[in-house]
Amino acid sequence: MIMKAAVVEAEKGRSLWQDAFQRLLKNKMAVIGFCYLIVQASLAVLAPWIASFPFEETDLLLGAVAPDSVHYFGTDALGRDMFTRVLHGARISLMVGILATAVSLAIGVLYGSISGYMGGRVDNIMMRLLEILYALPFTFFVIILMVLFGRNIYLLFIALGAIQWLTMARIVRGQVVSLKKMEYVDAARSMGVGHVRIIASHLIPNVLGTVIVYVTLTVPNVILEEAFLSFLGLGVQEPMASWGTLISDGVGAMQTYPWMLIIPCASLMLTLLALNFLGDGLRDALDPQASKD
Amino acid sequence: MGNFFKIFSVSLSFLLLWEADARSYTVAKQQLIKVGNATEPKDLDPATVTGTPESHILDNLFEGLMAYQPRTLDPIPGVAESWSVSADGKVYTFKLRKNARWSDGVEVTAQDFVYSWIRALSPKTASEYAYQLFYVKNGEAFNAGKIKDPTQVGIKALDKYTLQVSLENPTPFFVRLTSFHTYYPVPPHVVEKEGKEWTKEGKLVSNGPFKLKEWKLNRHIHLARNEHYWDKEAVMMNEVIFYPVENTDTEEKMFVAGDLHMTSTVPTLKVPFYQSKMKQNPNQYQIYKNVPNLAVYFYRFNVRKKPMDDPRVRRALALTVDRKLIVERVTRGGQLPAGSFTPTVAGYFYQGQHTLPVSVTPEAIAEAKKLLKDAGYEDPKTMPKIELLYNTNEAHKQIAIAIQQMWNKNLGVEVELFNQEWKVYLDSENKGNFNVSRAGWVGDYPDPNTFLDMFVTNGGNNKTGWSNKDYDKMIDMAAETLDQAKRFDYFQKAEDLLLTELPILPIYFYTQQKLISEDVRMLEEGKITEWYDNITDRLLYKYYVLVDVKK
Repeated sequence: MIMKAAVVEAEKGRSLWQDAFQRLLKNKMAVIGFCYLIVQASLAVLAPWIASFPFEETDLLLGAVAPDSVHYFGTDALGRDMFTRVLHGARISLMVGILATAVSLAIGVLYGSISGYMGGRVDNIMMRLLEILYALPFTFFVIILMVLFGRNIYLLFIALGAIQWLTMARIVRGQVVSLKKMEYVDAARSMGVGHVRIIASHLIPNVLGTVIVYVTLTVPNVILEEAFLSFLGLGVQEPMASWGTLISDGVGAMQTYPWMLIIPCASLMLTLLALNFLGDGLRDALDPQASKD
Repeated sequence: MGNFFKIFSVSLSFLLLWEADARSYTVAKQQLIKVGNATEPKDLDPATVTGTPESHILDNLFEGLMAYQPRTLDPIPGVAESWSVSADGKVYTFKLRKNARWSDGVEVTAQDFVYSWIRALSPKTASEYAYQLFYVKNGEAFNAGKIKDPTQVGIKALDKYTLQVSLENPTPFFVRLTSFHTYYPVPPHVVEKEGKEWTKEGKLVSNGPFKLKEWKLNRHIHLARNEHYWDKEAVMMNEVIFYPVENTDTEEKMFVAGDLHMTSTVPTLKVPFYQSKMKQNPNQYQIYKNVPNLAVYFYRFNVRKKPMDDPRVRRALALTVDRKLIVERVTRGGQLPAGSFTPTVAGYFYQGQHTLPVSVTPEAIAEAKKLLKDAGYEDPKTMPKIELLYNTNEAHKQIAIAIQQMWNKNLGVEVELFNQEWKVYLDSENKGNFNVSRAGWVGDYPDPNTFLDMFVTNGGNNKTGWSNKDYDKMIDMAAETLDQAKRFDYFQKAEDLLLTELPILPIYFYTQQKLISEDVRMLEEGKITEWYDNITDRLLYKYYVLVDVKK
């Protein structure tokens, strides 16, 4: 069917999503945060081409030098270029952030929406189970996983994601419980639409706003947790580096080579700040009611 | 001398003025020293423990037949007043002093030593260090369960104060050995009553300058003066507290905050900071101390696994590690690059020939490449993956990274690093789950035997799977010889074999680095002097004294 595109377009109203996007653009901090993240992410992706040294190459004769025109961020005690290592660290840290969040998103949304939609006894059992999992100390859980399956960076992603989904599931469940009483869900049900379809095409798209906001807050959480695990020596293995391992190395050199601590800390902090600004902005944009107070 | 100390300890409560070195000071009222002790001891049973954190505590709780001079480590009378040896060097007779007492007032007798040594050797005790007593006649057979009757073992109490020890071979360093903790006496009247629980707080009874006052798990171990100690007049220190601080940065922070008088080590990355601080104030009493140690830092090659089963591969790897660069640029604590396995320490009487080059030259790289080619690994990528295991520690990590890079750069060999927590790491090493693993060995007594008898076939600390009949023979011959020159000759031959076959890769000889408060002084010949250490870092607080330095 051929249509006169121009006419239809003129009549088209702005969707809720477009509204939200407009509101987001008005939030300066969120936009700055977003731009910073884009730059940081592309630097991380392009690290092997941008960095002037291989990240594992040591230069023992050089040792630790302060930032200069050759080594922009200085070098560590073994003469490895910090600029290179911070960029490569960003690769690991951001990858952990994104992948672990994706894992938590997948499990959390599925679990939460099933629990909320089914209600009754199923909901009760699923939520009690969740509470039991909440009670498990997360560090022990990750350490046990590491000991059982050996050290593996992908396992780390999964382990971190497997812990983050708990809160996600609760949020989604709460939303679904209130959404499922809506008329459009009743309508779908009375037309004989199956449970799976109702969840997939009616409920999940409607909780997405809340979920997206929570995701932007989960990413920094996961990055911090990876940093924490690496700090304990459970994260990535040398000579690879994440921001966590770089900071952990830097703490020991605080008095002697302060740049080894300051630079990775600053990178981590700026990224977390940017993510938080973006998250805040998204929340205000997607849920204008909440931001009025 | 005894009299002098008597007056001295009585007048401790008064302030005495001393003008010995540059700054004047008075003896502190409170003689309580707080020291960092690396890790929580597994136990305090002299017969079973093997680690240095445990021995640091035991050396102050107990005293053997012989004690040792704190600077030179020469044997000096301990529980034994004197000793004599038979002409063939195989029978030692020790005369015990009559005033030696346990901390509960019970007498220390020759029978106590017989009881303790038999206990340490007994298969029931299952001590990893039992082999320290294998020099005693039938000690090994009794430990293996081949001899059931303990009276067959060469330890006899001739009377209450006379102990006779028969040895398998003339062992010239035997007298030194009796000051080692496996040889310490344990109180039979307590061990029999309490069983395994006897080392617990409130139960442990000891015969050294100090007794156990408090043991708070993972917090501290608190020792107090033993009022029954025979030489208590010479002891100025009243209390010692050991803190099990695993993290070297935390330990350093505790020291800076004034919560410790002495640390067990210095974080590697802080070494340049303290060195430059001392250069700026050369007149100030030094807080950073660096003492050469009778200890070697090395890597074990697991010769049971490919590719380390081939001596050519091991040699190629050994040739391409620049040890000089490692001590100068990575560890930076004045360590000596190791071209041999037995440490070269000034004042230590056996000097192993450095047959391994300590720096890497282009010729060495060419030779190493040729060796790899001969071993069938012309393309290093075809080599089975090498895993380098180390126990979690910042300094070990730095060294492992440096060596990983050296092998990669010089030979193109890929190495993967693995770190494990101390107990897991020991387990992996014992089970042979490694290609290359980090290791360190500190001499138990100042004799090359403590280093070289490790690598005899199936030795408890061999762990490499390496076995060489000629090597075993050399170590046996050395044990049977009394003539020092000949013994050293055998040791040198054994060491040459070790360095040709290379089941191990020596990296450097340790130095003991510490941070020490300027209030810590030591006693020597009745005088207060600056702090000093010995080459095996055995710390005797009996000889320590705290002072208040005049600001």
